[in-house]
Parts: sequence; structure tokens; C-alpha cells
Amino acid sequence: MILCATMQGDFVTPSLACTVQKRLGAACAAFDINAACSGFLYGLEVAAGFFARKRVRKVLLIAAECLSKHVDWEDRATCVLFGDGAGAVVLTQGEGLLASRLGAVGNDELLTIGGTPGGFPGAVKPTEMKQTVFMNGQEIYRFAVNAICQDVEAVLKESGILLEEVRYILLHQANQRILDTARDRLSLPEEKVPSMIQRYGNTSASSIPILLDELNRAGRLLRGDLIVLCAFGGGLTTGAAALRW
Amino acid sequence: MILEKVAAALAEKTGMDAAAIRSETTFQELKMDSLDIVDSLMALEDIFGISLEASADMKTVGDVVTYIEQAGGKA
Repeated sequence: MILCATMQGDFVTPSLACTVQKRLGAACAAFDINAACSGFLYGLEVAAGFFARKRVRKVLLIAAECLSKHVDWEDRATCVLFGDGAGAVVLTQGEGLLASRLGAVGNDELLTIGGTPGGFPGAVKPTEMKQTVFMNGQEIYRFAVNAICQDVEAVLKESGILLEEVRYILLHQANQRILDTARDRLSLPEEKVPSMIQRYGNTSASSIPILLDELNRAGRLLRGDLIVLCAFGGGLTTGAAALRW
Repeated sequence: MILEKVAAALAEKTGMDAAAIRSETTFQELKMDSLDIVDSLMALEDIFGISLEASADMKTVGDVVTYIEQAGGKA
């Protein structure tokens, strides 16, 4: 199965997962999920469900986002925050997913990218939505910091892992202030909460798998390491997982 | 009393002397940006047991005290 976490692929249809399937020459089910920046964590849990029902032997989970399509390039305060990116993992049946937690608080005001209104001829057009990223920075910061602290503690409790046993807490790379505040509240040393924001910006759902890949390629992830992933984003969505690498 | 608790919380956040933080002190004078303000509001929510939303109208320490009083925070 190919599962792609993205808010928008190259087409409305086919899905990004289907376009990848075609490029790979694969023959399997393929679909996209949209959980914004929490997409990779949602994708892990969706894949886990398919494994639990023994419906798949391998899942290619991709998180990809082209945020350059969605930012207002004339808004200097916002456009510099985001980046385009993609990350992927191949999942197989196993015991590595120790705990996971997904959440959503439906909200269409604090963090939005507007959609296209209906085009039926003669219909009364609703007020057009802002087609580029809108974010209430202060409230999203508050939401993110609270979500990180709650979800990290929840997956640690569910998995029975102690915080000091965790090698890394990989947070969605949205904003360095969020990372710093969350690290401070969880009383974590800097080396346990890696950051790549200064190089790539906020790449939405792809930020965590990109960070995983960078750590892995640098030899900083060893088999058996305990890691916690935690994300938050539009929806408003949240997701966290505890893994044994 | 509310002002004193707010001043203490802001002093801890900014490293400034709490005695120097008065009702008319602005967040700009405290060198606090919008996220610093949210951080402080979150701490004040825990102190007073109330919910506080950041507002563009919050320019001074006194504005925050007023919001706390209106939200039912006790001195």
C-alpha cells in the first residue's frame, strides 16, 4: 500500500499516492490523507491499522508538501516561514510502534488555507476564502506547546517508557520558539530535541520524516533507540508516537 | 495583589526587577514579543486558575490585570 500524507498533491485527482504508484510501477492500493502537519503521525496510525488486520505486508508511507503553492509571497512575515519537502518510510509488520495518540480540535479560524468555492453557473458565490496560509500565531503557539506537553507525556505513559530513556523527541519543525518552550517545559536537554528549521523552514507533514532521515544518515539513530515523535497542525490536529527504531 | 502577581510572573519571564514593573509598563518596554506575551498569559492562567486569550488590546501590564479581573481572577 502507498499512503501519502499531504494537503494537496500535484492534482486534485489522481492522488499524490497514485501518481507515486505510477512512477514506481507498483500495483497496490494507494491513497492520500490530509491531516496537515500531523499527517505523518496520522499515517503511522493508519498503517498500523492495516497491519493489525493483516491486510498489508509493506506500506510506503510518504509525507510531502509543497507549501510554496500556498503562501502569499507578498506577505514577508509569513512566506519566509515555510518550505517544500518530502520524506518517506517503508513500514513492515513488527513491534516497533510502542504507543500512539491522535487528536483533533475542529477549527476553521486559527489556521487555514482556503479552498475553491463551487462554480455552478448562476449560483450565489459564497465569500471567497483566503487562498493562502492564514495563521493566528499566538493561539497556534499556545495550542502547539500544550499539545506537545500533553501528547509526549501520554505516549510515554502508554508505552511505559521513561523520559530519560528516550534518545530523541522529534517535534514537528514549525517554529523554533515552540520547540524551545516545549523543551523547557519537558525539562529536556537541547541535544534531545533536534532542529532543522533554520535550514528548511516548516515543511508541514514532511518535517518529521526528513528529520528522521537526517539523523539516520548522520549515524545518530541506532537500532533499539527509543524515540518519540510529536506533531500538531491545521485542523487543528495533533499526533504523537513512541517508537523503537 | 493581582498586579503584584502579574509583575512577579513577568519579572521571571523577562529577568527584570518586579518592583520596576508597574501598571502602565508596556510590553514593548519589557522587550516582550507576541509569543512572550502568550507564554506569560499561559503562566498567569495557571496562577489564577482562569482562561486568558491574547488580545491586540493588551499593550500594558495594566491591560492584563484588567483582563484577569474580568475573567474572575482573585487577588
